Amino acid sequence: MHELSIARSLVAAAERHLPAASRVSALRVAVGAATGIVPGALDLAFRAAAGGTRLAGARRIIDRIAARSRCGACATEFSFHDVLGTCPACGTPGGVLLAGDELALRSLEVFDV
Amino acid sequence: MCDRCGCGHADVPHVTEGPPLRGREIPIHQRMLDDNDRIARHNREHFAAHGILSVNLMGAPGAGKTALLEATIRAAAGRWQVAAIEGDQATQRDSDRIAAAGAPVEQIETGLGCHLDAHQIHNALDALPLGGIDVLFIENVGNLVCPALFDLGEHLRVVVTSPTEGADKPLKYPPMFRAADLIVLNKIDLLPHLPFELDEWRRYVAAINPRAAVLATAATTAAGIGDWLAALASRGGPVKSDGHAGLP
Repeated sequence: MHELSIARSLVAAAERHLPAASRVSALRVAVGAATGIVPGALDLAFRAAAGGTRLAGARRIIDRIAARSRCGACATEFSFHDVLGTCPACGTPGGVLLAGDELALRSLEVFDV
Repeated sequence: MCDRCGCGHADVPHVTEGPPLRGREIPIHQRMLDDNDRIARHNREHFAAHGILSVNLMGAPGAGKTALLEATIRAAAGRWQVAAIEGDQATQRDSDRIAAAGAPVEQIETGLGCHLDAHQIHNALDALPLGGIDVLFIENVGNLVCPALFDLGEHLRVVVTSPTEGADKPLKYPPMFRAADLIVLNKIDLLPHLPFELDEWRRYVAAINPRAAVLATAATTAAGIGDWLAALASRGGPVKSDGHAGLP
């Protein structure tokens, strides 16, 4: 459900950056693994949120950003693609999150109307 | 068809890095939740201007968030003026309980919404006079997933959990436990009756969020409530406009 809130916020952010008399043909967003945001759900929510706006019908390019943690037990830094992350060296879950909480609009592909 | 896993959905994104855009590209680099975050910053400034410590209280339904608030209002009586914003999908039941405990309160019924956002808090503030308030609790919708992502303008993020939920919840819901400044294990009066290993739970909390402070309470017997108030006070409320620290 919260993907819809995020998609609405995304559409609002994009519209603020959109030059007058233009529409969006594609947008590129970044989703960090540790956010727990499901790209497919965000994509579906975007289609609902973009209806009737200058982003309606735009292609979605979703860059999935791997998360990184520093293990709390052995200090190994490791990448992961789920929301938890487990140290490959010692098997300890979690750790201090270094990256992976990205939830960003990166760019818009626009055309004049 | 998707060429990664054969799931049959051409438009389900599986890529790590998507293809380049073809047309005129405008770089943006802005947080998706920028809209929410701007209002949250505004709320936080508003609280700071009134010398209010704002606390976002999150946790699963039934963790004891409202009971902890009732115990807090009773224990802080005569010391702090507490107010609350209550978030639930439906009913005014929680705001009735908070009002009965003696604190000003505003209820937000979210309907289909699974979390509170900064806009809802900003709107609720229209109906909740902040003059004289020392601590504002925002009791989020009972949910261990969605509220973790939304800044409401709080100064302190608290997750309330309980032994009936099981010791492994920090591992199962990492973004929520990662987001917490303070984690409260409530209902510790039930520990003798449950197969809940406290050390195991502490280990999982430390693994997910080593920086969070951890407290144990039993809201219905008031056990640990003194420590809870001390923890809030040590966070020091925002400095009031007269230059004095917020929390007496």
